[in-house]
Amino acid sequence: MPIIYNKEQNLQERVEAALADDFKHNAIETAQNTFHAKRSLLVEALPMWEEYRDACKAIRDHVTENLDYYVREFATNAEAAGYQMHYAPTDVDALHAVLDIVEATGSLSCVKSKSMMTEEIGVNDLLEDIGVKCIETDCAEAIIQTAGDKPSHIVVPALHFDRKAIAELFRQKRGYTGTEVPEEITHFLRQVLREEFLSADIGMRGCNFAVAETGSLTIVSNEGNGRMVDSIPEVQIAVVGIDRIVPDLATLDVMMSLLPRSAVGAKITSYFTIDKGPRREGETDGPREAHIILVDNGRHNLLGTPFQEMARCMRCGACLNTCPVYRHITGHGYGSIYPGPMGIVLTTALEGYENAAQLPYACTLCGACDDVCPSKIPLHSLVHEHRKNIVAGGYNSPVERGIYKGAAQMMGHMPLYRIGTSKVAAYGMKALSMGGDSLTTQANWIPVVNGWTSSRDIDNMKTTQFRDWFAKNRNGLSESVHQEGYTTATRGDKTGRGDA
Amino acid sequence: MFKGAYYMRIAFFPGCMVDMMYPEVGIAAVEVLERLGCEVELPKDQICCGQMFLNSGYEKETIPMMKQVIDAYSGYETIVSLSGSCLHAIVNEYPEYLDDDPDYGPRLARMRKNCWEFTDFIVNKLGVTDVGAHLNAKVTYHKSCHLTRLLGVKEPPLQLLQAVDGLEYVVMEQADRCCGFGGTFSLKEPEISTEIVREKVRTIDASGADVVCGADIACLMNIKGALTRMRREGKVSRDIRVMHIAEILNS
Amino acid sequence: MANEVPIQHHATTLDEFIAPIQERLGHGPGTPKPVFDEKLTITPHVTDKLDHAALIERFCAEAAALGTELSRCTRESLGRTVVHVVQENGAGRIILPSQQIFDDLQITQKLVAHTANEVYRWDPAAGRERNIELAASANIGITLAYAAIAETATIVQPCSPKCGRSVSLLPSVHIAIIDAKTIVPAMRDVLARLEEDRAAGKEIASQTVFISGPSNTADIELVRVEGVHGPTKVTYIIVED
Repeated sequence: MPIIYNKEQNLQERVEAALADDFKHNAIETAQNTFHAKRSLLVEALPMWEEYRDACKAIRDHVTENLDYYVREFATNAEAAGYQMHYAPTDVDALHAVLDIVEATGSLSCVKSKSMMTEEIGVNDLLEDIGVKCIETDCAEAIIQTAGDKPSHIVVPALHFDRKAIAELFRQKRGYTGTEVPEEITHFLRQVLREEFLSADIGMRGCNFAVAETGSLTIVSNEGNGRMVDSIPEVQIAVVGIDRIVPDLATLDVMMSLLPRSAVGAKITSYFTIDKGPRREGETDGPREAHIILVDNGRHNLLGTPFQEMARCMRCGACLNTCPVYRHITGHGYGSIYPGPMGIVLTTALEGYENAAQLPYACTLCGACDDVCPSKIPLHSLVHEHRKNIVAGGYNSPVERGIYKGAAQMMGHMPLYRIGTSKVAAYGMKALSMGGDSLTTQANWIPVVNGWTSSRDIDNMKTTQFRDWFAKNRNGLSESVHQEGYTTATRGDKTGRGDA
Repeated sequence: MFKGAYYMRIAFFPGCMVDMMYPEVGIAAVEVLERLGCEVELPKDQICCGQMFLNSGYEKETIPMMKQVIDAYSGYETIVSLSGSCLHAIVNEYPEYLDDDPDYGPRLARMRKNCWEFTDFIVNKLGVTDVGAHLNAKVTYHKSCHLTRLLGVKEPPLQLLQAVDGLEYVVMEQADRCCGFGGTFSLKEPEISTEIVREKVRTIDASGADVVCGADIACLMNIKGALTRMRREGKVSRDIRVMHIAEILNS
Repeated sequence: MANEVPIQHHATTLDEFIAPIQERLGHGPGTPKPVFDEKLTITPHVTDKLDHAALIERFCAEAAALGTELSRCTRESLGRTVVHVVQENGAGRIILPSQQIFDDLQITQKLVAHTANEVYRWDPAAGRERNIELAASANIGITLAYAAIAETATIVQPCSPKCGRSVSLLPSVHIAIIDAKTIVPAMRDVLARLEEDRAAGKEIASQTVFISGPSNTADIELVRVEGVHGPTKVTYIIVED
């Protein structure tokens, strides 16, 4: 699966590389500030926001819990609407479907509007391999494709390039002769891509929400490339995940009340298109034939597990835009097409712990993502869930397990705790810090600890603990007596006035 | 000891970090609670809530710690935790493991209803916002994640701070953004943690405060560690004190 | 290449595709239609309590906030208004739908008589290439909206044989005529109208697009640029009686 695009580097290395690129993480910080602030303003002004979120959760959960029914309903109605249906249990099956369509139509070129699902199956590489010209038409995706790079954000994937780099890139690779002004670069892209739209054989797209009752597809866009792909080429291929289905047209209201606000901090995007089948009789634009490739790619395995909740995700990126970790390591730190909190949960769930056991640790479990998720996915709890599975399944290192088990034993055993902390550690730290109150760089030679002390001081443990002070100054400690399912607490011995 | 309008017997949960590293914070909290009419007890057999282990995915290893906490505290009518983070674990995470336990399940269910976070307890149980403290300082407040978001204790710390005589409260940008501690996250992913906490320190510096306070010692330890280091490196231009809110309320 | 695609493959049937989903859910084959609580879709909107006059004002205010130009006129002055708006947007070709109403409302006639622009119609008989070529070379495309949404200053544009998808897409300027009566509070109301049409046997268009302002992007350093792949400018004309 091409979900994880960077397998050469481990998490540590990817993080280091991302952090070393000042422009990149500054750009993401700015983007995060901007999107998050715009979103917050709109959400605060909307008294019914929580109602929308609850409705969204209920609608999407209903579909997930009856996914077999809704996949069939959608597929049946889409077929009746004139779509040619292809069912792809895996990414490889989806690529086969693409191959079949390309072959049957004799197509030589393809314009693509931005779609995470097509990235997930890795369709660009396939088309390139079989000699079909494949053009990304979203501005950011066009930049990424021209540079041969990977997205750093799911909504605005090319923020890690500044205008200068973009202008230079287009000068070298696309014959651009203009300045670094974003407007000029964008209008250059409009011009070159317009020709591609008008001449391409295939338009390839994703789908934001697939409507079961009518067999409709929808697409949300600001640039209009979704509309172009949808209106001009003679052959259309929509690659649709089974987790995009909503029951009927009416449910789109809630989805569209939430999605643009969550994604880009706008009440609405410039375009929201509802499609139903290829062009009809008498119509002279729109696709002659329209195909839907319905993709599972491991999603059914999440059903019945805690990760089933990810089926509600609408790929808005709000969790990325609030995440303190994403903010610094950018999409490239995760090495997955799905970064940030939703990315950790989804990548790990789809790719398995053999491939992604490090990702769930790139999270502070701060819970900020849960608060902004339009479909109320308990993201931080799901990250935590992954960690539990990783430990239970033995996917973490034996050394780490040893450390945790030892420490857990100490913290659960009073005599060990007392010796370990107030004696060994406290005196050890005191000695290390040369009699000071905190450790600074003296501990940089100690593995694990040096991660902390290389950038931060740490206060020493105390030889006299809080409990020592309490016992001495406040009539001792209380004793708990447990009997017959009930516990009573008894005040310490010094005064003898137990008041259980 | 003050014997005022309240007389409430409470069991105090300091959290292991206060016990091991910051006894002065625990002492301040006890003194504040006593001044407000509480009789404070410290159960003998409590150590650590185990959240750090649980958050790292070690469930089996944490269950004995959970039981230890329940054994120590479930006999009390009122339990006051000095850490929102630990309390979140006890109240919101323990049930997954112990709800079905015939012995610990019912005790945990009862205990959860009796638990309060320190500032929430003072404001919403005791009904006090002005504890009679005095501090001449510009103070900003870091909103710890678990306390603010997961336990939903948002207003009480601010209410308490604003009632402190002489204290000027100043807002820091993104006060509720994580400080980057995240338990073992700070050891497992130190580079990311460092970036996050250093940005936090820069926002604290930019707020103009002389004191940064919080209600969760773990975050404060992280912030203090970065602050003192950055001060020494010349990345912070002035002295900023790190205080637990209990220390402010006891001043 | 990221994936090895074996030569041999078997086309999966719908039943085969659904089987593992069914298994995970513990459902038997032929699961009956699940009960869906339609109440979930009846969500409130900030524009709900506005009367119709206020809805129109709200639509105009939202359009202004989006930077969309807007003119208001009566049915009688519509032709003149269209001419005026066209003149403001310069020379070049105009593409119009071939719906009868454009003649009935005197739009076509006025444009031919009072502007120097070449006026073309989207003609189903002209064929795909010719129509797309005309639309692509047009400076201005004019459409009549199916409905409009006050909350977001959105217009709704279904395609039809007489009004292709390209008319509101390929020209640099899109002029949308809105009948004030069709302005509704929220997207919910448009979707409900589409449902009613469907129930009355009128099939939903092969494409229905909700348009809210010009095509735009912020992909380069988050700087907003208007005019990416769709029109660079959108202008609304609201017709009130």
